[in-house]
Amino acid sequence: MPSDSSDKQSFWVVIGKYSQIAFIFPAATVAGWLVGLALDHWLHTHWIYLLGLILGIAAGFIELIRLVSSTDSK
Amino acid sequence: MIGAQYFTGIDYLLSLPIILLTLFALGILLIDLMLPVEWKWMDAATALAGVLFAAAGVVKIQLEQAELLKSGQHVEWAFVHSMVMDHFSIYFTYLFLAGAALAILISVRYLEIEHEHHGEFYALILFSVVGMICMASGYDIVLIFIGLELMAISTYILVGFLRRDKRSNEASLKYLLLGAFSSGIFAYGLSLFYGITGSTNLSEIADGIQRDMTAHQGHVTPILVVALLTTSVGLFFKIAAVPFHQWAPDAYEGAPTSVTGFMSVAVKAAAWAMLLRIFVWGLYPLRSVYLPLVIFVSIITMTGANLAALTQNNLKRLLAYSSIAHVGYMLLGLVAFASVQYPSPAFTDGLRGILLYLLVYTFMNLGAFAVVTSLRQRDVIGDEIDDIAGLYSRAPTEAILMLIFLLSLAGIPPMAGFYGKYFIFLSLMESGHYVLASLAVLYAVFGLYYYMRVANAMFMREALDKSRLPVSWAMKFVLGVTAFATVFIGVFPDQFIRAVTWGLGIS
Repeated sequence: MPSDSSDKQSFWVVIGKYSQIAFIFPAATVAGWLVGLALDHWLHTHWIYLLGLILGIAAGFIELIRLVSSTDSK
Repeated sequence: MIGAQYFTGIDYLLSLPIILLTLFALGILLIDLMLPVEWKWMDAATALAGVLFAAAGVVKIQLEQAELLKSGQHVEWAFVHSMVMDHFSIYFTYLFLAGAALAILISVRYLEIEHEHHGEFYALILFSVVGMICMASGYDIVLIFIGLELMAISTYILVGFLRRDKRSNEASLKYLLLGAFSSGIFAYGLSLFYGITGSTNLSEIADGIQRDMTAHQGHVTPILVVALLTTSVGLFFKIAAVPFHQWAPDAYEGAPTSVTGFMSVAVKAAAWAMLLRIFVWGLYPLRSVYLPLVIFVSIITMTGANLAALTQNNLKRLLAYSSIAHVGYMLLGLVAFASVQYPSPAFTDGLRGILLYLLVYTFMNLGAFAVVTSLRQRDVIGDEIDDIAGLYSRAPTEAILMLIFLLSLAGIPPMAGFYGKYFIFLSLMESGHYVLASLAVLYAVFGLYYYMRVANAMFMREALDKSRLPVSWAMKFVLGVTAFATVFIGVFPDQFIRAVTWGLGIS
């Protein structure tokens, strides 16, 4: 929520801004897992999905920290 | 003599922790009169001794129970079945004593800085724990209510202990007024149950409710619904569930930080023990009635608390809203329990999740509050996120430990907080509440965001005050114990899961 009281963003814009928080992490995790699964299927392996999962989790964390840093610097 | 008919040696054995804590609390009040200012730490030492003696008393109870069990005697009941020292009570008693001991240790230096180092503080903590033990071991609604009031009144005074701080006075008054009203509504609900069933004993209340429902062809009468609603209001207030949470952020912010830590773990655990006693043992026949209520309250609690925590700049208020959010997650365990019949796995996993959650929460939350308490210096209040900015440059060990606590609060493995959430979510899946489980996971990510805000401040921002942060030996001990427990429980959870299963009385 913007701390500047003169900000004219509507309630729904603010809700939209913050609701992305809930989906960043799970979305990145699931995306990484699915990409890993697809690569496993294509290359006939059985371990790439784990790598995809870890990379997805890491990407989710990085994006979350980036969001936190950008919000706190405003 | 009438008393001699009812009170036996077993009664005094089972109430040994209560008796010891009371004696030590009274002792502190006496010795404090004789202690000069520089010797006030003796009050804390006496209080710690009291906690240790009480813990030894609980061990004594367990040993005696095991000994008497060999000869076929099941010794759990005291004072004409108004008190029970079963596994559930013993589990929670250990939890209360651990929370009290850690809170006493982090209070010493804090009170010296605030110039409010008085023996009454430690005596009130011990009296509060006596009330908590009555709440957890009470099997009669009168004893439960007396325990609740003893805990609550002690805590009202502790919240307002900083007499010269207006925020503390205001927080105490708000807590007192709202607490008194909710206790009144709670007592009204309990009195209705007494009127319907003719008894104040939880087993007899459950039987009476069952009889009443059978007499009305399985329907729940309006008076039973009113009794349930009013009792639930009182219980939800005590655990700070939305919309009865309004007192919590103000009380947490205004109270001395060590008291805030104590309230957020021990007082909350006691409120949960009381809630579970009443809902699981006393109101079990009404679980199909309170299930939709608990679902509704858990959803609005998670929603309201997480959204409010996103915008907080005061550390104590942020942790207060986070505490309320955790209540929302724990209520989901109750949802899973109430949705199914025994011996469905969700029945026990839901309750197991709540007990494990309270165990890990005691350590990780008290650790986080210990770090916030250590920020209090002569000229720095230490409540704001700005005060924790750049902590890594001032006290790197503390910053890393705080990161451990924050990751555990967010439920990130391998920290202990993960297992608390794991069992709750598992029980939801087992009971078929997939939507609730998904919602809880999404809200857990919200939690990750505001915990990462604190971590970002500690590691990425410049410190406003660049001097090194002095930390007392007591504080170092508390931080070490809480961090060790947070990591150890997360990495080796099996024995703690077995302890929780034991606490539920399940072999």
